[in-house]
Amino acid sequence: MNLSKKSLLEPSYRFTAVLKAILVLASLFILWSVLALISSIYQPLSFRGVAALESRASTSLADSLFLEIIQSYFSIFSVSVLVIIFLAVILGFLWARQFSNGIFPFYENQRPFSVLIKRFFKFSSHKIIDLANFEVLKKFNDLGKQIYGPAVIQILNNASALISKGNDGFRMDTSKGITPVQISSNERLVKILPQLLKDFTINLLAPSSNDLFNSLQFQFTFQVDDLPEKLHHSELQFLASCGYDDWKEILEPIIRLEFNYLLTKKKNSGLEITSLKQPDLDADGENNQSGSQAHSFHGSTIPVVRSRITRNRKRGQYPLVASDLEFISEPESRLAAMEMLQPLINEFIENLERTTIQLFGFIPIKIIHYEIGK
Amino acid sequence: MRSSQKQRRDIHFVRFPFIILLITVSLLVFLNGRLVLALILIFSSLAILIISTGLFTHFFLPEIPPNIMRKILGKAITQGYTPRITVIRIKDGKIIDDQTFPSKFKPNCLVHIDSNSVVICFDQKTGYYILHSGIHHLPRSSSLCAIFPTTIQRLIFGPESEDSLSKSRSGEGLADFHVRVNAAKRTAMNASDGIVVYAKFECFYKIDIGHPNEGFLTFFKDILANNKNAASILPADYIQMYLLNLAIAQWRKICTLKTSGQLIDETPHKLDLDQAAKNGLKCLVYVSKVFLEES
Repeated sequence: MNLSKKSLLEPSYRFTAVLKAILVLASLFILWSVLALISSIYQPLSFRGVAALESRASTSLADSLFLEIIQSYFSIFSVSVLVIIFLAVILGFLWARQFSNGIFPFYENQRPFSVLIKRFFKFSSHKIIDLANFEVLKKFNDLGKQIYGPAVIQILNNASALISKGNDGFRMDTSKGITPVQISSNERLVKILPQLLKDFTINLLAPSSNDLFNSLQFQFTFQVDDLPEKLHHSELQFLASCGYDDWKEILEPIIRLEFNYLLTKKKNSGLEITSLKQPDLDADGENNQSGSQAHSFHGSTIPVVRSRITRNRKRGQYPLVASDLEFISEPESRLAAMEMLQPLINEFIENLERTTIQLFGFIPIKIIHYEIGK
Repeated sequence: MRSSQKQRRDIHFVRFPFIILLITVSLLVFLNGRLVLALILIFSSLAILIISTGLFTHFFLPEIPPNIMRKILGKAITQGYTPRITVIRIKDGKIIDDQTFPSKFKPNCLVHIDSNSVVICFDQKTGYYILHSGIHHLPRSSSLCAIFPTTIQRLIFGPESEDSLSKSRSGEGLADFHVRVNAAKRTAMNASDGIVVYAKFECFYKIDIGHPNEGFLTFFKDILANNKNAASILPADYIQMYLLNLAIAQWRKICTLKTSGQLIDETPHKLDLDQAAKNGLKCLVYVSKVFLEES
């Protein structure tokens, strides 16, 4: 992986960082000078420091002045107060670290002091934290630790990173492991979602008595990346604790129940079953929608090819029961059956959409493909 | 060594020389007749300690609101050199890292609520209020009353399968048998033809935190006020029992209109729980299977 250091630098902050560093050093020197001045004027600790220097006989005015300055700057009072201040700052850091770690535990490979320095000076991180390993990733997710920004993290291919933006909610890095995930100084990496289960397939029993077509196979995908911004937050909130596995566990029974509910509704109203109308065909057997029919479900287009046989049948009604299919052979029969089931599938998709909106407030999945199963 | 133990050891390691050195230098300065200077030294050292704690905490957790930061620093001042800030961490609707927390009274602490939880608190001055995700301060006058997950929950009531209603199995104890059968028979209902049917309810629900919380809070106010075990947090399964009762009431209406045969044929049923929606719960209940007593 080629990752140049240059690409990770934040040039806009470079000047600020240098300025901050100069200010900190200058403040320290001023403080030290004030302490030296106090030491020189008030002599709070009467015994002199730097005894060795004092014992030397001063030969000139310059030497004498230099000795005086050194004595003031390195007097016991100045040095001991500086040490006290240094210890106070260190203690403050340790308390802050303890408190922060109690709320969002630090990842082991990250040093809190380094985080603090980077955050204070707005430095970029060059060191890449490698999470592109299943074992390490599982440990990271299970322990609930977090990587404080700024940081550069290499994640698994096809994985996504859930990043907390503090009070501004979450964001999802969708680079999917192609380029390392970069988190800025006010962000934290909360979780990595290995998208191995991003797509999942469910077999649903179709209303056919035909042995060939006894199931419908739907392939779903979680639509994390394509969600509108306003829904993103609640979506990611849910993902923050649930991985795709948990999500699938919730969604799969809903999909099955919704489909079965629709089938039962159709079955119990026999009139509806036999009166599902096929789209009108013109006199030449050509359909206005041409030879292929496209169904759109939240941006995904599902082409359903109309079979030649069914196109020529010119039937106005299509019963869902597959007894009619017995005379047609594979693969045309599959296409014909698919077309017969199209109204049912459309209704199912609409119902599923309505149900997921009712429950989730958004549509977490989309169908990317469906076909008749064997 | 655990990380927290190491941190405590580090703090102790720095704290001790800091105090010794501060006292020694201040004492020597005082003995040299510089009382004011000694006092300035003590107060400025403590001020640096407090300011650096606040500053570093802000850099680590910029999302901490100023009032919480003041509380943290206040604790650091009032509790001297060992501020013990109790943080109750709530994750997925449960309190973690604190096994000894049955009581709702744990005042004057910080509460960190993850994005999948919601907490209802009671304040003696302002009454009931909801805390969402984030870091909050629980003042002395407040107490935790209920904690709920805000993620989608799946519940199953009634018999899982026909087997759940079967007679005592070999090797099954009497107590286990009663637990199993009682759980399965919670959804028992008479159909219009007088035959008892057992329904399997599959319920999906979620607390609607995006919605104005008035409905949810009003719903819980009376319950919390009348909570029999007033000293403890309301059990998380309260919502489950509430949803079960709503679903059963709805199911009863359906059962009075249909025979057992119709109920089985028309499975799955979808129950409409409008009341739950009014109370801030997004809810979906299916009757996925219906069993007869004989089976």
